[in-house]
Amino acid sequence: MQEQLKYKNKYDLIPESGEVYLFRSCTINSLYPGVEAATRKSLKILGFTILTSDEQTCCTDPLYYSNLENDLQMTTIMARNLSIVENLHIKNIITECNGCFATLTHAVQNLKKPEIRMKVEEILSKINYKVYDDFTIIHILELYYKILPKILKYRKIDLSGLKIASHYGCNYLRTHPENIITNPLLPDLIEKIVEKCGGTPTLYTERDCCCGAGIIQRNINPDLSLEVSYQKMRSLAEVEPDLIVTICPFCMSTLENCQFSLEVEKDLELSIPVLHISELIAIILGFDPISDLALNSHKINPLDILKNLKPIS
Amino acid sequence: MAEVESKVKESELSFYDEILNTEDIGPFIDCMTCGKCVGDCIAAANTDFNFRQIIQKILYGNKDELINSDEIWKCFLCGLCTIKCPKNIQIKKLILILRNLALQSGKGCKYLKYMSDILTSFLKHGIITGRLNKNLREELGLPKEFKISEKTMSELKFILDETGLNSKSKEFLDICTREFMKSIVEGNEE
Repeated sequence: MQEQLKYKNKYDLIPESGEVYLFRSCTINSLYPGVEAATRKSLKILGFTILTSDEQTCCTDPLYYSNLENDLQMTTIMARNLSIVENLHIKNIITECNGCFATLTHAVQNLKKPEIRMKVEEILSKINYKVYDDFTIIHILELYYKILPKILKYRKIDLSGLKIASHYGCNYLRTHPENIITNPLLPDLIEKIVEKCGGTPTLYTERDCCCGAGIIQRNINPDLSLEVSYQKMRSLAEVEPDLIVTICPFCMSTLENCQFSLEVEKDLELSIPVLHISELIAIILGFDPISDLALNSHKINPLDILKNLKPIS
Repeated sequence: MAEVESKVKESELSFYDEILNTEDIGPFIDCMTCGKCVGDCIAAANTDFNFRQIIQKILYGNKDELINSDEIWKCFLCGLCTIKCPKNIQIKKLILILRNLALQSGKGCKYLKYMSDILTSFLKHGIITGRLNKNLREELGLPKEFKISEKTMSELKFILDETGLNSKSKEFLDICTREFMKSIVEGNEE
């Protein structure tokens, strides 16, 4: 209860139905289109109308955190995107990716600083855009958490018998801890959703640990990166979960890929499927894992584990 | 604080000032070397990366040593240190600032060579993307690709020019190409 009071401000702003803007993520678009399908199909049932725009560009998180882009550059690109959302008369922006979540939050904060705002305004005025900073940046996990009673109402599948371990990802928990609705050192949103839907939330020692991607580490220090993934996956292996549920497509890809590398390099044989929270919610709502969600396109196939699930009696 | 400040060599004060003036990163001169940032650090657990030492190097003005080192490129930017620091020092931001200085001096580019494809994709298409699974997208009832209109691309190019991202990126890509050519020549010589 106290926890909820602490994060009340943002929690109260999260809508329970209506129009929301879905910020399109590059990783989901190319690697996991099933996640986008899951989000669209689930939110429709849950009473939301999703708007997107072909005028939106990438959030540029990979450039910003690789030092290839400075604050003014990132903020100007994002201020243009925010202006497009404003023109649709929407204040609630939903993201399925931790990278988009971090850059959107950062851009909105930057636009509240007069010195950077003035520069952005000057540039954008030349292409006829105004600058707006009054938005609620919501991670899709937070939205599902807020409308959990509604999810339970429309629930078709019971998660009983499934041991589910969570991975939140660094960019959600710790880049802008002031804009999340859980304790960054002890997050419990996924656990609460899983528990209410009949599953068994499974904690493990290295839950806080990075997936190993480290934004640039997978590429510049691959051995070090794999070592960190090893640390994480070994700890996961101890508690033997059926599924890993994450909220970031970049972590998702790392957690899947590292299991293949770890088998070769470290003799750690694992085959734990990784699902995005949107995919889990879509399964709970009764969507078909193959024709609706294309879960068979994941590198580690979750279908064997999901086929044991039973409808709500 | 005065005591720590006196440790900083007069002639090299500028490095400390340079960092302090870049962005709001908290009172890092107040660091009491408690070690919380190192205790939970995954990079520290696996390498010689040690943020306490990095702060000391900044305070002593060892700029060249720091920005020429591999050390600053081992951080995972996971932010656990930043959230645990009792003095609220923005450690993650500080690492990004140090990496920026390394890039400006030309030393850091070799680490980010792999980014050249991603950067080129963004400059050209307005999105950063891998290979699209077009058939799967269609089967799921999604639009075939992440479309960006021509109007959007021309506006984005305007922003890239005005903010200097275009010239900065071209400079970076040039360095990458030069390094790549050099590696081929060196490879041939061997």
